Amino acid sequence: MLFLKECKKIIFSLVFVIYCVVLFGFYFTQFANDCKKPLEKPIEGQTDYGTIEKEVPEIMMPAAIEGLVGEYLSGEFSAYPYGFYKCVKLKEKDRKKLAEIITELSGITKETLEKFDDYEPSGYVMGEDGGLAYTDGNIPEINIPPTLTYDDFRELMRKADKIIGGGSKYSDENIIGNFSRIPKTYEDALEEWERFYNDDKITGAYARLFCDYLGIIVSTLPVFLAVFLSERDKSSGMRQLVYSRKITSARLIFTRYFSLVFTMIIPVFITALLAFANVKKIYPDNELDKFAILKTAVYWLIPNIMASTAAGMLVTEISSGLIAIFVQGAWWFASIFASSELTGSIRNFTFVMRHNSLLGYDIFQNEWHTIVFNRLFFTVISLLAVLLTAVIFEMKRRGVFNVKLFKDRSRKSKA
Amino acid sequence: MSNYLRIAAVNLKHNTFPHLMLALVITLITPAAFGISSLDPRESAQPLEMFLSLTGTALLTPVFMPEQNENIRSLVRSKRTDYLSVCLIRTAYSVAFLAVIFGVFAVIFGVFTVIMHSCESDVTVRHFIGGFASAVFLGSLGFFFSGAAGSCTAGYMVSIMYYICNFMLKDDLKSLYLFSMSSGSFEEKYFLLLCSAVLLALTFASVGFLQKRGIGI
Amino acid sequence: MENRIEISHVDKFYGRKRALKDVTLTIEQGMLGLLGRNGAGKTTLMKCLAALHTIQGGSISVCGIPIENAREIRSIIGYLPQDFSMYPTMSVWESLDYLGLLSGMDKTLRRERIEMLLKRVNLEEQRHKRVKALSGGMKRRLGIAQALLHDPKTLIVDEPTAGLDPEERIRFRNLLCEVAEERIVILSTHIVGDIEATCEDIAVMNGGEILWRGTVSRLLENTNGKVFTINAEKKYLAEIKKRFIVTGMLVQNEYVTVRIICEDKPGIKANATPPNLEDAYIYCLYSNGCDVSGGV
Repeated sequence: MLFLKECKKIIFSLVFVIYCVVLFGFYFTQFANDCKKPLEKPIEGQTDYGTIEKEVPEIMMPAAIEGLVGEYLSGEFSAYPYGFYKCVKLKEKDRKKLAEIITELSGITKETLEKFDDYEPSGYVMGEDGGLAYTDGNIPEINIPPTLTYDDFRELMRKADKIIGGGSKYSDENIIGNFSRIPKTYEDALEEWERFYNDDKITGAYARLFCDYLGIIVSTLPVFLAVFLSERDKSSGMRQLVYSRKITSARLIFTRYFSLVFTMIIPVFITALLAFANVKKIYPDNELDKFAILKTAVYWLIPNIMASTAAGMLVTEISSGLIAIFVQGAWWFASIFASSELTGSIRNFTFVMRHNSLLGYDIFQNEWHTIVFNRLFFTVISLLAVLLTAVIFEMKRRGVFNVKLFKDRSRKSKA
Repeated sequence: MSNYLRIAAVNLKHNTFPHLMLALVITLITPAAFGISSLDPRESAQPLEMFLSLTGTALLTPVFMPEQNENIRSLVRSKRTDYLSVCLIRTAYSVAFLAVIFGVFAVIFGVFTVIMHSCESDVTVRHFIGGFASAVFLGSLGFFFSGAAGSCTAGYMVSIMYYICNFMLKDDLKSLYLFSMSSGSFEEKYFLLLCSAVLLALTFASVGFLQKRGIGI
Repeated sequence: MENRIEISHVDKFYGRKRALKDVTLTIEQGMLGLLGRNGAGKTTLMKCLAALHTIQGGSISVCGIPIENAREIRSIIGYLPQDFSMYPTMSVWESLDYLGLLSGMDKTLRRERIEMLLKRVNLEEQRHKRVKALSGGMKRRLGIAQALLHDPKTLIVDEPTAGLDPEERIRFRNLLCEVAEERIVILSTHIVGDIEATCEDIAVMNGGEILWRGTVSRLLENTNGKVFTINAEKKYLAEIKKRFIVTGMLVQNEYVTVRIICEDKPGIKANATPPNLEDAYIYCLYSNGCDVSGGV
């Protein structure tokens, strides 16, 4: 049977071995490492339960304005426009615009801003005794005009973010996380833990963590296997032989596609079983859902494998394997680093879904509709891409597809 | 000597050109995505280590690619000039290109430092060595796997996977951590350079060995 | 320097598989045809001669140079692999120039030789064509041109006529014959017709061994009186195939004329015929204990 033959071809290839090594390596260094002892139940009377983000204008407004004034005076703005840190310095024109915004926000006049020259940042500094001490820093006095409404404030911050170039601390995505955190109370922490324990039934939370880690790699590794399979056909001069067979293009391409996806799922399932065994080990007395991790892996990871494989096949068919690897790499890069957050940032077209926390059951539930749409979207788009691959394959077979989008100089033709 | 230069020129035109273009694309994307006007040595290390280092993968992994076709390989090998010298030529100019790319960035950082702080700093030399070391190491990994395993796809795979692992496994990679300069440590770079040299030598040795045995590239 | 290749007691292993078994052969100037089935070890032997494979036992010297001295061997050997391919984006001229460069030739010599060879192999008009746009025959001719580029003392061509049309094939053989006047040419093939048209000297290989070495006429002589034709009804065909080695047959209505090889005359109905090289080759395999029942 063709399907099994293709599977065999893949399983006995070097790239598949590397795939397995990376996958298992990732599992053991990341997931298994995070999964060594049970999540502790919060105890009443602890000094610190962490903080949570909460939109409280009274906290956010002074903090954000202080931050903005501080950065303005230091001359450097930190931003994450593409997920990487970028240190932004403004041109004189933009500084003037920003100074106007600061005046509106804080009542500090332009003159004060210009003349102020003993700025010190707030934060922890090394004291003389070697310990860390918190200093308030030194900035001009801030008097928020009483007429400034919260909406005006947000609007001005949006403008400031735009001047800085996006991705700054004051953007809509980041402002709450940066300037409006409140300490968790014991009740908050307990509630969150109880969701983990009762609603997620433990395994649900671990399933998300598992998929979070493996998702990073199964959204890029499959492209190599797809490229390997198609390139081998080309470089070994098999193409003409394959073209001349009776099999329809659609059947051949889809069989190859599903055998790729199938073989790549096997190691994922094996690690899912390992993950469950791991969870069972640290929660020996709890009743656990045996299939939670496997189920989550199915809807979370398979669309990634499918999309990456399909993209690899399609681009290889149109141009070359090298371009396919590059395209997939760029896509992955953009997706991973588009958001600096590791939880709660799944949107409609997020390719690599992240949820790097055992908590946050409610965040995940709130995003559920988005997630369903997202995964279905990638599944459907993958199948369409494979179909397109089959169409192009058929056109090449008939000799009507001679346009190469990128000239591939590395391919050796035997024709 | 002039013959070797000519071999280099022909190879550049026919075999390395697309990969050089890819490296160039990566180089051009870097300032657009990161900005290169920061002054803090750690921050300016980020674009070099975390992105520009991929030029190493782009340039060094495909050194063996033109002869992946066995027929071309045996033809080239049957000539008087040793096949490995041809590969050595390709490797040498690829490394030279990497040096140029990182050199250009180091100079840009240097110029910014001088303009903004009106002082000289050895930060740029470090940036050059540090970024270059990461790129060469990534490239050598791909080079080794594509050479020893006879599959460039495997080479790209290992190189890119290692790159990705560096975002997750900072503490586990120890001296082989690619992005150390961004967290203020430089010693790793010497080790990376040493390992790259070992990997390159090992690749040539293993390709030579496989050739003698009549297998592999 | 003597123009001679000496191969003595050569062994070659691929892992545990013994690809060459104690091969001993002396090759003088002129053309030698290596004849054998697919997988007989012809390509392996040729690759060993081109210093592309190392040998595990025995010794080879080409024109007095031991095979271990790969660099010098390669400068006196021209090699055309079984499936000749070149970087597809290079033009005919660029390929030749590059390969000449790899052979260590200087610029003026390269120019001179390339012009001369392009004329000789009739590729002058295709000089700016890319390799991937060449037809099979043109590619072969480019192959022979590159092998002759550095004016080697020995030319090794592996299955050169496979995949060529009859006209191209004839032209190619003639070219080889011309070339062989000045040097050693070793030609491997499993197509008997190639040998018949070009070589006087042949070696038959099977299972990594040299089965037979000599001239074409000697091989034919050996087979003299052992080839017969039989006219029989079609229904006896299976029986005939079982008992004799069949090298040819012609079906006419209910009757069939079968060409067989047999040590003694099989019966009165059989007529002795003069052997052709194909018969002689099959008989050679048969008399050396090879299974040839799969014959025709």
